[in-house]
Amino acid sequence: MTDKADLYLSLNELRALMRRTYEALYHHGYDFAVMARSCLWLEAHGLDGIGLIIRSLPDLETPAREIKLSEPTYNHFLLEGYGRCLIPFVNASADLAIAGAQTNGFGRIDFLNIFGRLNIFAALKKSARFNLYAAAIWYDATEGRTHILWLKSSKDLPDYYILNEVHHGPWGESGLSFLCSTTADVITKAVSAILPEGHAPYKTGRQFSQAYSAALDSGIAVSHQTYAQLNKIADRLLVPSTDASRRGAGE
Amino acid sequence: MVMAEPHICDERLDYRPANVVMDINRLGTLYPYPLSFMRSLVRRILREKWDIKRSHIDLCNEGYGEVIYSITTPNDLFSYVVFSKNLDPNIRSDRVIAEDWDMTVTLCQGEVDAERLDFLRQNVPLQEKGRMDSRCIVLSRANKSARNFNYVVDRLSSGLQPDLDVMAKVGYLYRTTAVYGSGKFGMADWDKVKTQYPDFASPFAAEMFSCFLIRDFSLFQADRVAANRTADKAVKMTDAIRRYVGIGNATGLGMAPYLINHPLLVNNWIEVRETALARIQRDGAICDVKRGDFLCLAQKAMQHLDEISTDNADQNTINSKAKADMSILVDWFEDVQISAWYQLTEYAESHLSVEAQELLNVLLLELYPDLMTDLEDSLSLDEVYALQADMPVGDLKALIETHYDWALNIDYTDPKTQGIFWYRSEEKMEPRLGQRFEEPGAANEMLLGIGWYVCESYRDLCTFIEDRGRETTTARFVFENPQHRYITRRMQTMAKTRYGEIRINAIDLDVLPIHLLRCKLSFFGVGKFDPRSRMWVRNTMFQGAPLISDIGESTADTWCFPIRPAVSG
Repeated sequence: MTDKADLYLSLNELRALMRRTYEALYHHGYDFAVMARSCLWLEAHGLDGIGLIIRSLPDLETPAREIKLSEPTYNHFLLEGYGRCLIPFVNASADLAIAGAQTNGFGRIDFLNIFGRLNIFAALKKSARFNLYAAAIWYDATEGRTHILWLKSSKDLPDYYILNEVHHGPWGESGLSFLCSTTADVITKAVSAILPEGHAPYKTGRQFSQAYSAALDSGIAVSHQTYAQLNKIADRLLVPSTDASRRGAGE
Repeated sequence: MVMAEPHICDERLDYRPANVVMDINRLGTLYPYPLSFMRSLVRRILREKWDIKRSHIDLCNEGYGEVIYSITTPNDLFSYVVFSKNLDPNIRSDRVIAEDWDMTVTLCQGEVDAERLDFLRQNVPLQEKGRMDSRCIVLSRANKSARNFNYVVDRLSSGLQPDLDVMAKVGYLYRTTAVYGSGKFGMADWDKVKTQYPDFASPFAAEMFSCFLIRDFSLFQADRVAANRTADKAVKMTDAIRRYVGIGNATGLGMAPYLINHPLLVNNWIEVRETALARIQRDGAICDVKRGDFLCLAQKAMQHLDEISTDNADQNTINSKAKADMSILVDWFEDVQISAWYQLTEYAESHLSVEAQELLNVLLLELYPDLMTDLEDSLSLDEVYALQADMPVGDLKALIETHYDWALNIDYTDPKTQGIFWYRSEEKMEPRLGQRFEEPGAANEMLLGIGWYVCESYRDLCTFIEDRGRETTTARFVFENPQHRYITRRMQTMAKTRYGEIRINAIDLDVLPIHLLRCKLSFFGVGKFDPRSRMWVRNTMFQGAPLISDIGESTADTWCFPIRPAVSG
């Protein structure tokens, strides 16, 4: 995807750029800092977080549309996304399932009609921080493949499985389930219902960890075009210079 | 499950309360102390006997060209590369928006060969417009204090030492105008520095080291230019005067957002300092030696205050008052045989200015370095502000009322209390202040008015509780109010700390950002504050500090409150 002419951004630099990008898109309407970190985590763990953003830009640039939350049971939420990108509301939505697990031992949220589902990755990292077990499952109708992110231990990153099989769950063809629990067996049972025994991960938590170390060591390669595209959005935050503004810098 | 637990907290100690310590007017009076970053760094360099050499010198007679320093530490080898040029005085500016400088530098890991030097040559002088790589740790630049530099060179080339009266007015030859680290422009991330370069694994150690070597280069260059002018007549600056030469610094608004955006880190710095102070109050035994040391230090501090040169009338008044207060304190100390230091601090709190109270605290901190040695490694921490999604909103409301009462007490219906907004200028993203009701740009305001965001979230939280009850989770509140997610997780995190937030309304019409600057600079170890406006300050770093040639000779850490040396000029 990248070549020698690419820029290498530090992790901090990418996070700062994404913060400004999201701040430019939504001002302070969403938690732009955690959105930026979510993108950074994807990218630093080798999951093309920047690519996800770029592909989602037409939706992210569209003025906010309604999403609808319902609560079939006290620890199960259902979120209708009406075809929106998951990015702006993934963290606050995952919080609902995490809170469910923390208060009741188990929490779940099913997203319907959303895209950019890999952005759920940050929610698994957050679950680990709270010593929870978690999994995210979705079926990609375009690819005809089922994706599973499975956090088996709070000490590690999730393993990522991709199955060349159809598994329509309650989430449908363009949705996602995020499950969270204080005990491993609940999550294991849910994942095992789909994942054949012995199926090798597409990426292991260890590989994610190695990818992060490599990114920390050498930086993250970003094409000049992508860098310029993101900066063009981020620069909407900048206020033109005037004599008055220069006085505002202490002149 | 709980993050950000204070790790240095000792409940057996009698800490000062948060409402006293975190008051911005008090934080704006802090002085450097033994755990300030440049003090810690110099102690480490001396203790570990770092080998610092100029391994490559390619300078013309006027001191322009390139110098490479090789730094061998117990753990690694680093290079420090200096590019010095002849700068048109008409374009010399301390502002971050400047485009050219007398001197540009980088600190990087490993040796610098010809290919790498060429890469650095093409990028370092460009500063923000260049691109570095992940082996680079710091990028910085400095400008000459032209009048002082030329004066020193003239004196040395005439066979004379600089006059100390002149040196006391401007205690440096160069001023740094920006010091970048932490992954800026493609450099190594802080996490990389922390894990791979243990020599620089404490806060801002690499940045401080860069300033330390700018100081060395400034002295080296002055000596060299003088010698090139009159080889038969020129003298070298004496070591005593060289030690008295620091490195100047100009700090503006760019530093202020850092303190507001890193409240956990700031809390930690403050808590370490307060822990040291509380230990001294409890364990700092008073004996005749300590009494004598205290009086010597107090005299030194008063002389230091006397020697600070600034055109800022308010700062001069503050310095004079602090000196007068110290004199009163010393008189009282000599009259009354105290048995514990708290008697002195209680007297100061009752009779003296806040500035003098904090000056006294630093004197006490300087008296007992052994009581804080173990705290030195506690100054950095991983900042995590995770939402506690399961917290009942009733608890969240109580938390805000307890820990953010200072913010709830601000009357934001008064336009003055939100008269300012902070924004990024299109000129190098320089942070600036705008008048909210008079200037455009408020729509792009930076999220720095923490008190305002607290009040907004509290208002919506109260409404939410009326609708949903106190037991509903915080997750539900922030899902329905995503604009409050950031401030909510921040408040939940900071409520677990001892000191919490800096108590400042950063968007008040009369806000004094300079207090934030001084607070941070004091932790850096910077002294001699010379405010140029309420938004930027000149100051001096490493004045009185050991020289590179002192490494291996001594490990004494006695350069606090630098004063002019007792030698003839």
